[in-house]
Amino acid sequence: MKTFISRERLAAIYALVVGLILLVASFYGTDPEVYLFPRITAAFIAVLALILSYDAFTHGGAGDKQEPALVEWKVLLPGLAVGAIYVLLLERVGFYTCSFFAFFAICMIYGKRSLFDPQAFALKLVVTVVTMIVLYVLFWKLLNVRTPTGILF
Amino acid sequence: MSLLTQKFTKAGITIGTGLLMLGVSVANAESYPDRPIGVMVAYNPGGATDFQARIATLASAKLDKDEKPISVGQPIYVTNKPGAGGRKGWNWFASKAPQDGYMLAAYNVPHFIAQSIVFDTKYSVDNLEPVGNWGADPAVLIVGKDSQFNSATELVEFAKANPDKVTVSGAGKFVGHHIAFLQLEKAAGIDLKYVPGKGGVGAMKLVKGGQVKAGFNNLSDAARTAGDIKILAVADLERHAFLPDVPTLKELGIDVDNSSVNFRGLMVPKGTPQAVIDHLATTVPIMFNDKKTLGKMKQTNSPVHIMNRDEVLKMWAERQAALTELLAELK
Amino acid sequence: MDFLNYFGNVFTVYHISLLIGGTFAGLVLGALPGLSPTMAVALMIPFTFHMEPAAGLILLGAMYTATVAGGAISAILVNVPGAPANIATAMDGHQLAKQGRAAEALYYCFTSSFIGGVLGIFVLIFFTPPLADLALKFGPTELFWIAILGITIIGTIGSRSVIKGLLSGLFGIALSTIGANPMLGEDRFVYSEHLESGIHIVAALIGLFAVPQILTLIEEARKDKNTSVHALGESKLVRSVVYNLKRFKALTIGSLVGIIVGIIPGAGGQIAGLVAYDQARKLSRNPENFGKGEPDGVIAAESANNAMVGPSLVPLLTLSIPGSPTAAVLLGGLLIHGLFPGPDLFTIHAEVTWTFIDSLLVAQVFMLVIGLILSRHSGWIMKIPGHYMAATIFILAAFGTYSIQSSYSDVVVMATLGVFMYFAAKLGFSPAPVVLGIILGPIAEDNFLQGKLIGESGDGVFSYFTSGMLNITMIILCAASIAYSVYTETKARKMRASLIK
Repeated sequence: MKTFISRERLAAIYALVVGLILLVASFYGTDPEVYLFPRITAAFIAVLALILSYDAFTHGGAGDKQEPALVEWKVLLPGLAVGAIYVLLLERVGFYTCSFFAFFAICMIYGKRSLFDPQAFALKLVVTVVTMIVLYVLFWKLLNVRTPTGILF
Repeated sequence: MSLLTQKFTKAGITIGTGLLMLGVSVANAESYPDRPIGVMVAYNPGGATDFQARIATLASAKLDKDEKPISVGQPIYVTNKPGAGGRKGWNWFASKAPQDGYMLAAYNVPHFIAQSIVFDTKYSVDNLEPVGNWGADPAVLIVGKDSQFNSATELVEFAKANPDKVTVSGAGKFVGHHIAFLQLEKAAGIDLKYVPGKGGVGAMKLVKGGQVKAGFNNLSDAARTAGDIKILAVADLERHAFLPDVPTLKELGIDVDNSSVNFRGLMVPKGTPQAVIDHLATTVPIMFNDKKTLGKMKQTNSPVHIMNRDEVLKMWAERQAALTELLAELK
Repeated sequence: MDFLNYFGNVFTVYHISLLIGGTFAGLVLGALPGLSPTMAVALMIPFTFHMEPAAGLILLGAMYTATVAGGAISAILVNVPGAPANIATAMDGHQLAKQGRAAEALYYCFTSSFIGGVLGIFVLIFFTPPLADLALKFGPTELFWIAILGITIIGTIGSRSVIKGLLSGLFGIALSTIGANPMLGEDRFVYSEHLESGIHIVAALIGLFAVPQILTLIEEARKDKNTSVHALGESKLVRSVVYNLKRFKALTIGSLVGIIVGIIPGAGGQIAGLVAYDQARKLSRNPENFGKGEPDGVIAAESANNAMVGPSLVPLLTLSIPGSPTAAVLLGGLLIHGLFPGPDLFTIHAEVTWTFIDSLLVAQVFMLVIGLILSRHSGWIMKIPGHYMAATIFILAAFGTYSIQSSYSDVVVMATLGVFMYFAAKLGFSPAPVVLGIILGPIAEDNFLQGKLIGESGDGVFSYFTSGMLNITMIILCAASIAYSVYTETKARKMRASLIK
């Protein structure tokens, strides 16, 4: 018994989709001279994606019947959300303010101890503050990297 | 729901920023400058524009005997936003840079003017305000040291007999070298082949390695490696002090003017308060004229050409007209 | 033997303290994701502004050497290479660390870096004039074939399946075509302003490696302690160093590849480590161990990375043509002090030049000593709880990416690519070929288009690309490399087929 969605098949589908997007993007309404290399690349990707699919769907992924590694959405989503909000607000609110909250949020969400453990809370806060100070001294003071300050900092 | 929140946040941020900007610019009018000033360079650190900008702004915070600032009055730091031949940085500068005089940018003429004509850019001579020019680096016509050509005239003769057979390298498309190339083709009535190199360094390598027959490159870079190449002509109105023996193309009867000369200087975005522009326009040329700065410029083989705001405005307008005409024929 | 006369200039209190400071700072900065050697040297240049030429160059040289080696620290400990050059180091180095042999891996890394580095600088000292001539012979066609040669090894690097490896590599090449066309200047695939200047190699590197690592860390953060924390393990320094010195084959392959890649201008020293790793595996008696914690992998990759430093200065110092992106930045550092590459450097400015070269040699020693000491005490990094580690890499990734070229767009690109890679990795695609593709794509494209223009004005494009000793040699090497890949893939398929039966 094998499941229809083996890891190989999913990989093949992934590759086909990327290949298709690239083919459309580089051939549809573009100038052949400007898009020469993208076109060659897209064609090669499409061919290889087809070979991968042929392998995966004819003889069942040539023995690779591994199921796709599970993505633990429940664990992952809060982190991805923090990342998305961080990137969105980074330039507008300011690098250091955003980084402070993002760092603290990740520590809070993914720490092993309970969210409401006051000792852990204090530790996480201290680590966050220290990291931010190190970051500021290193990038702003020593390396002269002027990150966007946004409306806060 | 999320859309609504987004809208609210956006509105809040806009109002907040607006208020903040207002507060800042009111405070500015009298006390500018009261904190360090940035200069955005649209090329990589270590490149000619970058290190010249750093040298040119060295004297910005210098004080006289009475502890009064002699030029701009605040330290100037450089940040680099390279990419797409300078377009990335200048697009950012024209559309996003604060218009309070605390962020200047280095310009390269004719690059940015040519780009604004050919491409859909967010910048043009209309939304930028120059405050001073520090350098002018003409393009020179060079060939490898073992080349069959010993003068620009020989090269032109050969090209007349062999159209499209002479390859000429330059730093990229729509930079000074490319403009000089187009002018040479037009003035001499010949067909050459332009090979854009990877920056001036890459273009120089193609000439030294003999992969191309000739090249246009920066006068300062060519003068420095004079042993490995032959410098045939200068694309400027007059001969240059670094190379007194090299004739201009004009002297050789090829009608090429100074449109391709690479001018470098500082500018602010349009919308900057007039008082700030005035302050910079008077102090920036003084800063460029500092003795130590001039010494460093000489030491690094960087040709100095200091111009004030009015002169630069005139030069920009001339270039805009000349390049529009030249590049229109190309299309 | 000119170089022997100037060691006295290096051993002044001021210069030595600069060397120690530069080396230490370089190792630490190099270990941070995003602060690649190119970046670190670029950030240092303003500091050398007010120094004497010799002092400034000593600082820059020490930074260059040390950041190249420092990038290996994060590659080994957290599987996030500090620079493109260190990707190959991560492959086996991090596996060693997972087995509790992190300190050992770091010892290999610094010992090999030292040996490679010293050999590379000797090449710089003794063979500069002939090599400079050779470097000039590499025109567009030769560089195009080098890029193709690189692409042929993409399939066999870091992935189990050649097809998936090639797909990842081609995806990288496709990414590299975003932005302005190198010849015509017209935009390609610029659907958003963030893509305006294309995808910066270091931004991509951070995204492809750091983001999946962050996500893996947070996935495991609340699970059993043992999964994410690896013991540093007991490891004898002397024994590791002696073992390293005995790995003569890996060291030779690494150093040789590094030296060759370093000389070729524009090939990008970034690929030295990967090419050396690939060769070491192909020539190894037990290639199946590679990718599972084979010391030879680390040794070959790191000796190559540092062997590249000296030779990459050969074309720079003689012809003003940098052999690597970092050497290009160093050129700016030279010019600022009025030192113009060319014959003058070894005559008029001989004192500064030789002092600089000698200091590079001394810097190797400091790098070895400081590196080994740091390795001994780097165990605590492995013991940092997962959530702090994830948060730190997260913030550093953003700051490192931003500081490459002060661009918010790079941060957006980095994050997007990273999340994409995380899911692709679950399906058996690996990030190393993608990075290689991003490096090689522009080399292939730029040089192809340049060569095409030149060929068209001569005897035709095809004959221009296929004539000349160097071109023919390169084409034969490409064919051999493809044949080898096909051979391994068919062998692997037969193996799998027989397993099914």
